Amino acid sequence: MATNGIGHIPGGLGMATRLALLEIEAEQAQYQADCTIRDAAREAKRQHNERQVEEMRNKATALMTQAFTSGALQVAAGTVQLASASSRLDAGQAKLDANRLTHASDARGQDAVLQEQYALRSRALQGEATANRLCAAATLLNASSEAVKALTNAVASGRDADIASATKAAESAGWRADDANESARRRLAQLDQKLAIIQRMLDDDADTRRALLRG
Amino acid sequence: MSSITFSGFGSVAMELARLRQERRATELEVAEHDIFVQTQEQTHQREKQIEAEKRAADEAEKAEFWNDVASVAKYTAVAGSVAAAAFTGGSSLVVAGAIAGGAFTIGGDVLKRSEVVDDRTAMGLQIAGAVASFGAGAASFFTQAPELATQTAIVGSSVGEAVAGGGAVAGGAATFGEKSAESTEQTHRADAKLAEGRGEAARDHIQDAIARMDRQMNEDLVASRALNRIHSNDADARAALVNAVRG
Repeated sequence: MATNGIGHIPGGLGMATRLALLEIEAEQAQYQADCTIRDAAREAKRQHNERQVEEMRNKATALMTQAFTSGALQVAAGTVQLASASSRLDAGQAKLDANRLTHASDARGQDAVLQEQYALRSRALQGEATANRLCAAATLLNASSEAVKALTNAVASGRDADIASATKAAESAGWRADDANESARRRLAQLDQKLAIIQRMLDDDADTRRALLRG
Repeated sequence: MSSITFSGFGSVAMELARLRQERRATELEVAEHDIFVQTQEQTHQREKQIEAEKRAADEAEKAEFWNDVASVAKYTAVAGSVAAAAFTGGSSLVVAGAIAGGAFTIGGDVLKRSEVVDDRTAMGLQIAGAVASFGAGAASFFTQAPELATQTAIVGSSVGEAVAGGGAVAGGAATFGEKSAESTEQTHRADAKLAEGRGEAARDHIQDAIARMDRQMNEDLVASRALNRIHSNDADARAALVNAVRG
């Protein structure tokens, strides 16, 4: 009983006092246990909070990855599609020019017209092929962008679930800490009351001895 | 927790009690200092938390703005694609795929925003749209390109495709803006959570220090009562001893 100052009990105390002192000792141990539980719960809460913060940072990283990859892929897709549009316009124009040549009466002669028509048609075909390839590439890039988006969204959702679980665990640890704290506080109040009673018992004991001395 | 001091030990008990009182005074000072320091810490963490939450709210607003921009860009891109497919007058499969892709993509987004369908259904619709668009693109690659006979068709198809491309570029930039704002928001929320946790820890320390002070003061009260009693008991004992010696 070194902790509560009841270390040396003078002789002449009744059995009730000794019993009360033992109970006080038990209460004291229980109080310490409550404090230990409270501290452990607080530590658990701190750890869950840290995990929550970490998961939030992981989610931020996933979102930033999405920003860079999905955004870049989408911009690339758009740029390629613009190039495709330009190529298609050029090809269409060449085709139209070739068609016009067919119906035009040209002073240069049939061979020259055919040659020019051939060149224009070749250019149109080439342009069309390029436009188609670029269009396909744009579609592929767009699809990749969507896939990356879906993937990072899934990762972010997973992080959300982890954050929710850590929040719940932290809340639960917080309640446990509060309960243990309240229990320790009440136990301490009871301990004080019991100590006051024992003090009175000791005082009575001293009074008895004094009366005996006087008698 | 209070303490008990036994009667009848006179000056030794008094000395012990004095020493204990000194220790309690020191502990009180330590507890007071703890409260001061932890209160400062709590205030600081609270300020940090409020600041981080404010920044997170600002970033959320930015993300919302970029989300709107991305939606408009997406609608534009989809409309451009559909127009391009329609102007080519290509195979019905390509045109139908482009139109279905556009309808599913925009429909899913609009229905999700107006909360007609849940997130999962909206995602399903958007995936269907992406697949249809992809199919249309692939079909146009593998099938013979139609002969564009008129200037209007050529210009229409090219402009449609250019609009789709421009929309996609703008959408990509907006996606970057939106997601990076969301990421920054999340980082600020994490900072706020960290500050909140530290503030709570400081609050716990303050509560513990207050409880400690409370206990010390209670002990002081009980100890001074016991001291008074020891003092009077000691005097009584001495008087009784003197009387006994005198016979």
